[in-house]
Amino acid sequence: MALDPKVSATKAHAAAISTLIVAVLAYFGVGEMPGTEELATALQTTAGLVAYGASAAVTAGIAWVATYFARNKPIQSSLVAGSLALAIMLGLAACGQYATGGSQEKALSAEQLAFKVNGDLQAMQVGALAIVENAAVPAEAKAAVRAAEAVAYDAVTAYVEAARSGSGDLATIYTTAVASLTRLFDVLTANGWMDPDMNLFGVGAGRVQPPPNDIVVFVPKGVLS
Amino acid sequence: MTAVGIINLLAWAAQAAIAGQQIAQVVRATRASLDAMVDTDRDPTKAEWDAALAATADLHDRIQNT
Repeated sequence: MALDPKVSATKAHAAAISTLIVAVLAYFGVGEMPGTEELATALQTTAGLVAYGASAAVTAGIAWVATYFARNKPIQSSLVAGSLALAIMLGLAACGQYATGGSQEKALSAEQLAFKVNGDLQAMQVGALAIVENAAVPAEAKAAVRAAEAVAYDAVTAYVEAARSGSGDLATIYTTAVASLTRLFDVLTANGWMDPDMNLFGVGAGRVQPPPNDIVVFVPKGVLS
Repeated sequence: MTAVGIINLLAWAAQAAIAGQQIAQVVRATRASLDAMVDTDRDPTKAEWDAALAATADLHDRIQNT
């Protein structure tokens, strides 16, 4: 059956535009795909510029081809072309993300890492304070908590000072601070006063979930198995 | 279990709940500060360091002197 060229062209244009809109929405909507900020960062690099430029050109070209062929077979051609455009766009976006580092975790500066370690100590100190203030905890356990906290406080303080001043053997001081935090963590979790997720006493109402991402952790990865 | 024991247990649970919330607040605050620093590509300011270290020292004193 012959198609009315005017009607088919209108439908084809509508399908092509819809394809573009869906592709763009999907591109920015997929969880791990770069957002506006990452896109701006990517466009500052040659690899990112090429990847995103090629992505836009290929998608526009496929939309044009969809318009051309859709004059005869609007629905089938648009669907095929739209799927192809989306796949290529997402593939190129992944390439651009890979080329520019994308959402990879950013390295913390020395001061930022020291700030994080100090925060880890504070979180454990809150737990330690709850233990030493608890009348039900034996005196020996409180003494062990105080001793471990004192060592950790001194080690982290020394690390923070070194990181802020940029002096000293930072790697060694950091290792010492992490070891002291690990020791404090072990003491806090001994005898079930606190479980490895920093849930105090295993009491349901006091449960605290660890943060969902790995920017802040109680103890740096690899220290605790 | 005596009434005193039940009250002690409830007090213990309440104390743990409050401490748990405080731990969560410390973690969230530190993470939020770190996220802001990383996003803006800057190190902690003097005011941020002063506040963080004062809180650490205060907790240390309370733990050692309780």
